[in-house]
Amino acid sequence: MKQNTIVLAIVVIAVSAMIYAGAYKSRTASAKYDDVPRIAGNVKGKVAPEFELKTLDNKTVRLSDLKGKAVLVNFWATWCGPCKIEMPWFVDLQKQYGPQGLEIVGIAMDDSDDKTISDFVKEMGVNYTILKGKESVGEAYGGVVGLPTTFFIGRDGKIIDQAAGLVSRSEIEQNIKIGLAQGAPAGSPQSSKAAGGK
Amino acid sequence: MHRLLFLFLFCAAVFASAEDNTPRAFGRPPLVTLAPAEPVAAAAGKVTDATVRFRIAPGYHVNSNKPKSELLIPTTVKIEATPQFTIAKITYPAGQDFALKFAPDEKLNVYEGDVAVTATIRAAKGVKPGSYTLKGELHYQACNDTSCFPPKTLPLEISVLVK
Repeated sequence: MKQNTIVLAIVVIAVSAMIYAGAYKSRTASAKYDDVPRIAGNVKGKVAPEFELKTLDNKTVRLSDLKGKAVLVNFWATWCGPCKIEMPWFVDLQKQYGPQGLEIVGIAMDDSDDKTISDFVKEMGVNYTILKGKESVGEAYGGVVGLPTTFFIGRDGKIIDQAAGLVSRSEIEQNIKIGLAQGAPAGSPQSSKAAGGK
Repeated sequence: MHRLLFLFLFCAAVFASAEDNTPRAFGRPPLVTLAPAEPVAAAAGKVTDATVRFRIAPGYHVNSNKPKSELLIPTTVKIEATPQFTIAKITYPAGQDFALKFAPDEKLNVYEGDVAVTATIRAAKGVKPGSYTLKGELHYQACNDTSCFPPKTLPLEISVLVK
């Protein structure tokens, strides 16, 4: 009986140790990008992860610099056909909603040199912020696998929605309206517009 | 009791090991799959054709070797020359015109489905009879109607038999 108890205790300790080791290894494997907080799963309502990236003329931009604005973060690349389709929409939307507090931020995820990206951006007539992307930022946003991937962030810094792939212009515009209203004072024109008012 | 102990330890080891190997992203099949290259026969001083075949998953496409924009990444096959073999030519199939649903007027040139690229290989005059392996790679960038995925390179091998 005493021998059985000892054996059972050894089993329990061994199993616990192995489970802990497995969980620890799994945690460290996914901690490659732990320099930035990571979101995963359903991102709606979560605080958008902070990032610090450079513009094409080497100015630093942080997401926190845009506090109080509705932000559209768009991961794209010069080699991405669907990304090219939505860029003129973003140009129009930035013109239309910029004065109300919209900031569109395009994060270029390709390995092209700055000149290639810069020439492309000029050719597309981009009027919004373009930043040079890092894999770690894509990882922070849950792992950006396909492009384009777009995150709509409200004035309160929380993610309203995410679009994986190209979606319609009307869907993008609707999320921008919600973003402008989120955190806007109640009764303001923006909050009533998002609620369906005119 | 000792048998029970062994069984517990075995199961725990399997469990711990399985957790460690859990992939972070799963469920998406490969977008492009290379078929094993058929061995080719070659003779000293002569050229021979080897075919590199690959399959693109349904609903996806890759740019052809001659996409319609400099910014798009063309599909390429590269094979390393060796002292015994040089690559005389790589011949790509013509792509097909394709338009994304959101931009029906803007035509891309792509490959879909099964694709075969021909590599013309020249054997050196002094090559000795035997089996040789040429190494190379397939480079592509895949998209579907709404998303594009980062460029990827797949390694490939071609077996050459010199008689």
